[in-house]
Amino acid sequence: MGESIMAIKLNHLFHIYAQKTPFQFEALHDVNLIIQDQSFTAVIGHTGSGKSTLIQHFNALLLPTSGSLEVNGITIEANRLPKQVKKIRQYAGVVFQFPEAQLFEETVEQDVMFGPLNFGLSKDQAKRRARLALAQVGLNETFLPRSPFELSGGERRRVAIAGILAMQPKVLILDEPTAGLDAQGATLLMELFTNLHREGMTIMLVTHDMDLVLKYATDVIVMDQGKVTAQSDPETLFYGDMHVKIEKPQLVKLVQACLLQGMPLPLQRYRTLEHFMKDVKVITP
Amino acid sequence: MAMIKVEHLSFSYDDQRIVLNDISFSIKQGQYVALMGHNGSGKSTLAKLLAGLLELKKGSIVIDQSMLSVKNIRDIRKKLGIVFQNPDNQFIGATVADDIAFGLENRQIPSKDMQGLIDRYSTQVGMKAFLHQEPSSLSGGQKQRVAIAGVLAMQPKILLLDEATAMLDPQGKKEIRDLILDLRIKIPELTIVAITHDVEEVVHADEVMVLKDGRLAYQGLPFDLFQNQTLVESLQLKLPFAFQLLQHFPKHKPKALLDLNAWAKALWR
Repeated sequence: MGESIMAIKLNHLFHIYAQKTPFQFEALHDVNLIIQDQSFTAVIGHTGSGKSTLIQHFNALLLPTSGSLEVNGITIEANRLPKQVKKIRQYAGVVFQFPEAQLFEETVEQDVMFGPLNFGLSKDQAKRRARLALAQVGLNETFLPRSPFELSGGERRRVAIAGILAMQPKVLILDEPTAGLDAQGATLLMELFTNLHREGMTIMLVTHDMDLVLKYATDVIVMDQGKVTAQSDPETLFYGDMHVKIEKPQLVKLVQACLLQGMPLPLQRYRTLEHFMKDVKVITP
Repeated sequence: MAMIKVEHLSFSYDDQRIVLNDISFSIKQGQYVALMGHNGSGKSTLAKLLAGLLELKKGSIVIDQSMLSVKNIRDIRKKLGIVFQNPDNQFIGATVADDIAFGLENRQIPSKDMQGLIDRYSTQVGMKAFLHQEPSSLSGGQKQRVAIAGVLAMQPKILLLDEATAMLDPQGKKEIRDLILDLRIKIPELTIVAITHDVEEVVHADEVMVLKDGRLAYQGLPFDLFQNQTLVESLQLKLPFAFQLLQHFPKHKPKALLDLNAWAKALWR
């Protein structure tokens, strides 16, 4: 196979909001990135660091002010909506923050069918897609005729995600998908994304939750004030000495404290508390 | 003295699905209480009822010795300051100072007293140095601190934080966590009710209340709750990090349960 395939590539991408007005604001500054096909990439950084602006470029909802990006081989130039924009949006599906706010149809089924119909599928095909996508997010057929507005917050969020999955994207981009969900709802979603990743989907996750990053990501992009300050695997990022300002997960702090105490742990870097505790049980008196 | 006393409170939006089912509790003045519960458990509805934003249908709410009713709702609202989830939806002023002044102007505080109050409360939340900055130059945590200052300047008896940290990054979450602990020392008479999903925040509270399917399923010490794994699971909560360790290494429990260095020493002594 040789070198791995890239899904998305950014070349010297800048994004400036409200250019040439008093409100001009540079949200992205000279961003160069490669996102590998079938990776589970986490995007982290403070509120306002440019994460959401970044991901909106991946399906051409925002266009570069200068520079360019390549999505599945299609180039998006500065300030120019590409002709193949539908292809791009089918390839990269974006789930925004609090996506449940965007549900608008009368029934769950209609809402999930909206995307596939929009991309030219027949009604029957769209119906099949909707059933499949809802099953993927753990909602059975009894939900089909229900109104999205009578569902709980967690259920509405899953319907919104199903709406994107129904378009069968190759890259799934999620902006803080677990924000505001209870522990059980959040775990359910993370399991769903891990399964999709295992089945070959490229996952991009914007998140503030460093425990999730350490546990699930294969690749991490760190953003600060519109710039990419690091791109690395999570172990090197959290355990290495990368001089990046990030809040370390509690597990990392604990493992480092234990190593400092001279505990003979078989590994220097752990990604899950379960694994760490299993090893500790073997060596601790 | 009870600052909040709720008795036999039930609520439903449409008379079909019961959102809150016969809830009774009381919160003492100066307590820091965390309110948890799964999505749809009734937390937000309870908060809206406490704040008088929804009309009471069944049961009673007494705040600072006054029974909440249509007549005194305006007076009771003054006793309660609320900070919501989204930092960007609550910032009204053009600068930090303006934002804190906004509420004071609404209350018709004389302008000669205004500057003193703005200074005092911006200092209290650690934002004095930012008074003349615009909201766009602030982080999420800083914006929420300004929102808290604006609310505190009205001198409420109760600070109600409605998932005020949910949209913040880890640093912002920590800033607000530290601020709450700091406020407890600086304004000991202030009662704090924090609605949250963040178990790491809850471990610092005096008391935790958990709603499940509209019923009050737990009220007690955070420690007692998180030590009871069956209960935590049945309430669909996550165990805080330190309590996950405790569950697996009960014999190694360090005195400072939340201190990871203490855990490292305890695990390898």
